[in-house]
Amino acid sequence: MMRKSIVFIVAVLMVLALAVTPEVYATGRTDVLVVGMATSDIISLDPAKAFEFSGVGINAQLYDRLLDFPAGRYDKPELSLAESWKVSEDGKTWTFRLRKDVKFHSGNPLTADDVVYSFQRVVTLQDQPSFILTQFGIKPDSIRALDRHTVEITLNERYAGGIFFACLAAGCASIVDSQVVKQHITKTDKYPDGDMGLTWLSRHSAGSGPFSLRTWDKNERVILDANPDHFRYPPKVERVVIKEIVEATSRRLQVEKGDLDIAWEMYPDQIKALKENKDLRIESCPATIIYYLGINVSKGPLADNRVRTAIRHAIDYDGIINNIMGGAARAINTFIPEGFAGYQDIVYYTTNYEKARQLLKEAGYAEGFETSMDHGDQTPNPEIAQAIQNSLAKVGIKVKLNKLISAQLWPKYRAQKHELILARWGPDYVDPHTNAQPFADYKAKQLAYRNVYYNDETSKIIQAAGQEMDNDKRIALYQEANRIIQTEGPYAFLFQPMYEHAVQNNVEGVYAAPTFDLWKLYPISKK
Amino acid sequence: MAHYVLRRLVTLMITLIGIMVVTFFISLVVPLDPLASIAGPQAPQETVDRLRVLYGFDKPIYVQFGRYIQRLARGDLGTSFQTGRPVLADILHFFPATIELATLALIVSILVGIPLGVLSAVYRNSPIDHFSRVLSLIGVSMPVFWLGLVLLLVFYFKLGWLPEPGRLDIMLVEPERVTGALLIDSVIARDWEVFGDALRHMVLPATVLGLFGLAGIARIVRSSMLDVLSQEYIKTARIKGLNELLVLTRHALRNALVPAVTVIGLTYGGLLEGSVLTETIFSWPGLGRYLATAFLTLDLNAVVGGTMLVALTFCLVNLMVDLIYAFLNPKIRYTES
Repeated sequence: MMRKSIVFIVAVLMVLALAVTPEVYATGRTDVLVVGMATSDIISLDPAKAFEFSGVGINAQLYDRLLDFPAGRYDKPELSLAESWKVSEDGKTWTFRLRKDVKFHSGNPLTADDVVYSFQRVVTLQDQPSFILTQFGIKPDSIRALDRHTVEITLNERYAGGIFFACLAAGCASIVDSQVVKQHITKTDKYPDGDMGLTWLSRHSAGSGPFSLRTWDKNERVILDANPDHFRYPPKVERVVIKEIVEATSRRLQVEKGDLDIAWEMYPDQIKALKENKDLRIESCPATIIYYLGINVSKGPLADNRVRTAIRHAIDYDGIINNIMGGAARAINTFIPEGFAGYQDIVYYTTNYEKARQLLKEAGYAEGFETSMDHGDQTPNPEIAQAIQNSLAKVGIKVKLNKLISAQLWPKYRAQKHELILARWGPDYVDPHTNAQPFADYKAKQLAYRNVYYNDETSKIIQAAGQEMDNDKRIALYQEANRIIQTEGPYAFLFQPMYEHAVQNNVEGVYAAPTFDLWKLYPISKK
Repeated sequence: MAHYVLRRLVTLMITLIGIMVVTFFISLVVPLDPLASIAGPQAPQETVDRLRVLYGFDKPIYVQFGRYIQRLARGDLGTSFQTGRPVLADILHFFPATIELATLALIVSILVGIPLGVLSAVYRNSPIDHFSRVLSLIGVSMPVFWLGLVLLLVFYFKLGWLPEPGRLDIMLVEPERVTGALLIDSVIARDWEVFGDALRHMVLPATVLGLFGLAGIARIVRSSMLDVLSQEYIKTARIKGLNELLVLTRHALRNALVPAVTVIGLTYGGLLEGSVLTETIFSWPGLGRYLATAFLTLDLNAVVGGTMLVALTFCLVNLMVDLIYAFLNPKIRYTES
């Protein structure tokens, strides 16, 4: 009897629950912004550790930096926490005067001590993004507070101001509230002397930015609360809920249904359908990601630039862009992506099988040759790899495809063990140097090195650019290096994809940014 | 009986230790580099090398294993690379959502599967038998991914009867976390709005998962019912003039359930591992996605901890199944002999 009544009660509860539809619709409220995106890459929200797309993007809302990029403009950063700066004659010592009116979310005033502590954390903890600061030779004792509102940073040599400033505007250069963080230091296995708040800051915020972190539930949601007292940009909504929705189709259904204000990153086939919907609009901009084919110049025929050029001509670029990327990508022949200073809209290579065959013949491979291509297992990599395999077969190059997960792919690439590799590169900070250096300077032990392309000429150009104080001259140096890399280098540049977001028409102030660092939520309002 | 359970629990501990050792060594000898995911694709070699030392992967395997055992002895499963949190905390965070969904899915499977199996046995080759067969076929063969999206499209998008993917409406505040299962926590907090909303959010994922389990249950109940119904004692019962419903439930079904319980146990064990695809479509923060990411990124501590949890769950479910056998068929007794 007892059992029967329990079953009955449960049944009644279930029916009742299904019958009552709650009347709360988030998107009906103008003070709450609901964004659907795939955020499962977040590992930590500590600026000294976060280096994943979403984590860096969320940090950009929580923290301020000495310099920052304004919403919608990405050529050079402007002053933010710093109100003025000066540099010594030798170009090594930089002095920044801080604004006096900035308060952290805790209410503590932001002072030079916080800047010193924030930078010391990054260079001491030495986690993923730390190289953005340590590449200038910054050590814990390179930075000091001259007074309550003045900070001095001494670099180990002269660096181009433009690069240094771009790095000071990067996520890891965020200023944390040192008083709050110091209260949350714990001793861990990895940091037996104390972790400088690394554990605590991974899921809490101690910043001064336009938003503070309310919660981050991995695989579920991130909730941000507005900071109405922000010194420059008090947000126009009170709260932002970023729902983790991995599946793009699911994001599409929810934005069309009105349960999301913004559906982040929609794919080409969905965009076509979404364009029909009159309540929505698409905000798009080129992502500063470059898909490229890496060619290991130490492997047999690939050492011959005629062979490499033949490969560059034997790729069906339009087919990849239109059929695999659904048109949401642009062909480029530059390592300076659109959106960065110095981008040039030039295309050296179009599909030309005849020319490719001719080049192979000149190089002594009239009958073609066999090689292999490593590629990742996530869409669109396998599809692009197959397309390249097909088009290279037309000129006699037989490619064996190796589909690898990232834990296999990247170690193999770093160890220079590939022949061809399908890869992509995203900038680490917002300046062309972050791409020019890996692609053209083998001494940086990055992409040129991985492809065994030891070209001292391009290496010297990039190193000269790294110290060039005149920004226009510096950009010209990158362009010169790019010309050499495109014509002789170890890559075939494929395309730069687009970011496309679906936005409700009553939502204003959405800037589709080319990288997550540049993502800004404060201008967004709802009518 | 108590002795039997105790002996089983001891065996279980040994099994777990074995699984831990095997998983640990397999994870370390596979030709994958855990640093690849910790450092990301772009980090230069120096960063990779530095992180390798920081995470202790530069040490010989036996040293790493020794450290792991030391930590495990303290009840510490290590820190997950993908969340930066202790693996135990992660499991306690993600597992309740999976248990909740798996249990509801199993209830759906049982409530529909057993009657369906019984009916298709009793009315063999009738329309209801065909219906059951088709439903089972759909259950096992329909890709979860596709079915989930179609159900979402119909019941959420077109009809609007059921809410969006996720566990709870974003405007509702989760009740204080006691068990981590929203249905239970909301009852404890007497928050009926959350209870209702959480239940509504579970309907579609539980149906998708339930349909999968239902198939096996309905088929096994049907075949064992057919088997039992042809037995002499059923004829005897009928000749005695017993009510047909009593014959079916008390005499036939009870005996037919023994093999079904095995299938139910296995189904439940499988559901408790979490389902990556269902969790992905329905934005469900469960164990499946956590473990899938852990395996793909070689998040070593999470892999070993998660595997042990899955093994533990399976062992416990098996034990429960064995105990239910005894309850269903008093002839089965677990004694020391």
